Amino acid sequence: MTRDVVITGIGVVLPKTRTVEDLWAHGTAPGHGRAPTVERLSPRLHGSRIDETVLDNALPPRLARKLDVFTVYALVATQSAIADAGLDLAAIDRTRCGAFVGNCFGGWRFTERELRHLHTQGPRSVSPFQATSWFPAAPQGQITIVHGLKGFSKTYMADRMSSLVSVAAAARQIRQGQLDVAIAGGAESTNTDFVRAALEHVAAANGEPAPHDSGFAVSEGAVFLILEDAAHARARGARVYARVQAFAMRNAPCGPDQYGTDPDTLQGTMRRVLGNMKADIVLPDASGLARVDACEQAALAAVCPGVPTLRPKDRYGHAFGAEGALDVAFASLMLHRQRSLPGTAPDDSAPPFAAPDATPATIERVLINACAMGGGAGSLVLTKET
Amino acid sequence: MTSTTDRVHAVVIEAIAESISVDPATIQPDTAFEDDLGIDSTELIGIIVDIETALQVSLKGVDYAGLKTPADLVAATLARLRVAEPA
Repeated sequence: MTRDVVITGIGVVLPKTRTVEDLWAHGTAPGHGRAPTVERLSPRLHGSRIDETVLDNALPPRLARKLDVFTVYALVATQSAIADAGLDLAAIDRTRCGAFVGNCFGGWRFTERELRHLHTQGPRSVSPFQATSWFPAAPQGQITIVHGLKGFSKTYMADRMSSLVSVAAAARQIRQGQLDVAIAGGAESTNTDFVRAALEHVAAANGEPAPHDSGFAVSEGAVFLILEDAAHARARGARVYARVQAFAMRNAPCGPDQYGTDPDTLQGTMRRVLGNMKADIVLPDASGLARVDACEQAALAAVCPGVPTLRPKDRYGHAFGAEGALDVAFASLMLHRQRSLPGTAPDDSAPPFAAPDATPATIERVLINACAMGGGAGSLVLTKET
Repeated sequence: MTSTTDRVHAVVIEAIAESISVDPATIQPDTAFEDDLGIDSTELIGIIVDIETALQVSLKGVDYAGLKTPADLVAATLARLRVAEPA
């Protein structure tokens, strides 16, 4: 027996964004006074950053000093998602609740500081929490410890697809009856010298032109969703944002620091999840890397001609490990509120994905794409809860 | 107690209190690291390094698993200080 999987909670920590209403406000009214600022971070890189001081008191200091900021973001976003879902963890079977986390880079803020300690003060000055703070599964471990979750849990590293994969994996566990509830999403910290240098390499390796022409933009933070078996959500009277319908992932190997440029791969995943249905809105990967985006546009023109393609991620830049979950959050809100986010402004310098000609009368189905270095491509479909 | 013992005791209590964010007055010499304070082995290593730094002493080679209370830590530190600076 397979079960329906629904989204009942959303939690976000992004630049100048702590609540669902902040997220919707930034999505619907770009450029307003409190909006996040996308600025030049390094020669080929633009992006937005989190002001970490606003999270200074978010966690007990004994816990916070053991963690990299990407885990702090994850714990705060998770707490928000649980509250948004009205989920009383003490009232559910926590052996059937797990955590699914997407992440690309691990904890380089903590690591850079400790590497500096190592080289300036010696090995005894390196924090003993280095090992447990850095590794990408740190948020998964802390979420399950803090909330006492005993169900199957896992961390996924798939570059920009990471949290699309984590959400899909959580949905599969619920669909197959292994879990009733999952906390799924992603976390990323990109505001470090090491990560910026790595992303500069990525931009150059994928053919980005003169630095001032590059549309490559990055963000950071955490986005988590509460996924539930639909019957479990109904039984507790939960509000439902959207239904997780289908996910597909493919890989057409290319260079390890390259994104694929063959539209067939993404066309395959989009066709697989849509079947003979039509998407009302597409949230593309929109990497900001010109030749990668040209590939995605070709795939979209073949599979979803004329479908409005929205890039709310442009308000922040691409959040890598958190990006898939962020698109799931935007899609969930559009499906629940039956309102489309605005398209890209005509003067936007980013690549010209098809702007919406008109807002769909009803939004039944939202398609989300993501790509990964090495040739990965994934597509997820969310549908309106009926 | 000698003044060295007093100083080591104060440094040990301060390092523990700082590491786990509690009031130093709540920590007694026989307070159990694991059962009373929930200190795990990784936190204990951080505390030991803080003591080393504050007192300019090396606690390398001490049987860390045998350190169960602040009194154990004070005794181990004093033993090292006495070896390093014979009276």
